[in-house]
Amino acid sequence: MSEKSILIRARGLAKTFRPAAIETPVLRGISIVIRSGELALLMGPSGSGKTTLLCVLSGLLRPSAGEVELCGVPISRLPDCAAAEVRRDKVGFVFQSYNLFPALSALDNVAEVLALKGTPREQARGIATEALARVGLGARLGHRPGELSGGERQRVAIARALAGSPALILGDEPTAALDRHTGMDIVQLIKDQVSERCGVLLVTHDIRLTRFADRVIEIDDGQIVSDGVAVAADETGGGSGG
Amino acid sequence: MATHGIRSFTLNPYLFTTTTNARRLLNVGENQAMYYVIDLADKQCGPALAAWMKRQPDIQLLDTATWSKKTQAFWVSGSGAGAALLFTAILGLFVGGVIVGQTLYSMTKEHLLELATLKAVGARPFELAGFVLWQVAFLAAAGVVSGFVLALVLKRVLENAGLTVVVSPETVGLSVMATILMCAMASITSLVAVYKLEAATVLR
Repeated sequence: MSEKSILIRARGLAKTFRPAAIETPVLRGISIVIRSGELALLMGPSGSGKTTLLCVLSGLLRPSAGEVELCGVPISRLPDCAAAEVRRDKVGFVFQSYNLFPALSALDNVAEVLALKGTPREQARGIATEALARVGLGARLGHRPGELSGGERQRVAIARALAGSPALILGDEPTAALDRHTGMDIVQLIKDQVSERCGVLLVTHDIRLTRFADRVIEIDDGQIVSDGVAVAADETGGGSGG
Repeated sequence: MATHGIRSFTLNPYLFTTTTNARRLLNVGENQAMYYVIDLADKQCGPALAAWMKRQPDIQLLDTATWSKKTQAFWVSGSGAGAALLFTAILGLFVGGVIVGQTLYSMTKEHLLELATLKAVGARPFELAGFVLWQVAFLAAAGVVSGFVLALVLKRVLENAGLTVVVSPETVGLSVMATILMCAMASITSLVAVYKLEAATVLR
């Protein structure tokens, strides 16, 4: 019997934006379950609602309808502060543009997020050092983001996401700003973190990432159009999950 | 009598001369009111002279302390000079507040992505506000120190020119409090911007 636990359970999600009184439905009745031990890709064309779905699943946005449970907590019903607390304890983020603090060293970038969790400063630096060593940056602790390559910056971002031992890693186009080779290395690194206690959901356009995925969820026009076991794409970009 | 080293910000300089000369130079009639400084050659005569003067209906006798207070009251509230200074100080606070507010806001805006990232990964509102408050503390400290140094330099320059400037501990304390209050007021816009910041912007 699998030890996999449900990390995200979303039912009937809808999200409508109302800029200047014009209703723009972005998500239409999405239901989805993400478990630990799997790397799931959320794919779809631009404007299909991928990023909005990631925001709603992580509690960064409230759904207009439906409900999200994150690690068993009904995050969509919580006030912002309580939702932030759930994210702090359960989620690690990897962003497309790394979103590192330019004035801080790699070590401090990772330690700062641990400090938010209340980890004592010295202990946070110890954990951050270990996390950076795990992503191959043990020799670059004192470097600031401006002194690192794109791939190294994304490794720092991954170390930051991993340092808090999250149950769920959410990534928004983590390879979009990287060259092909570095991008594949980064996704392999993320894949290596998948375990019985940790799952990964990545939003991506990059069809080559399907070879790392256990599951591919395709979304179009705010609806899931396919959800299934990934089929590895060839290097020319043909084939996809489904 | 010739003097030197005397300055006044009024148009009438202090003049040490005889009463007749003073009246002539100031174009004041014999029966018009004037203030006289009495410096007794024989201090023993003081009480008797004071008693005599108090009996005169058209003479007001003031000791040094009372004269000082009366003069201060005149310049601070009885003349336009006090109001002008107060207005200048309030205007300075207002302009300073606007400048500090703009500086803080632009510093905050520069770091919105980082703040949104912190919010996304679970920072509490007071932790985000801490970012702004550190900048406020820095600006307030910089303002207090630079203002104090400037005041000391001006004091020295004016003293060399013969004008005594009193920088009392009360004045310093009030200035520090006014600066801190101004910085705190100026930080409101930035704090609101941080509070209203949408964490979801990091994923857009």
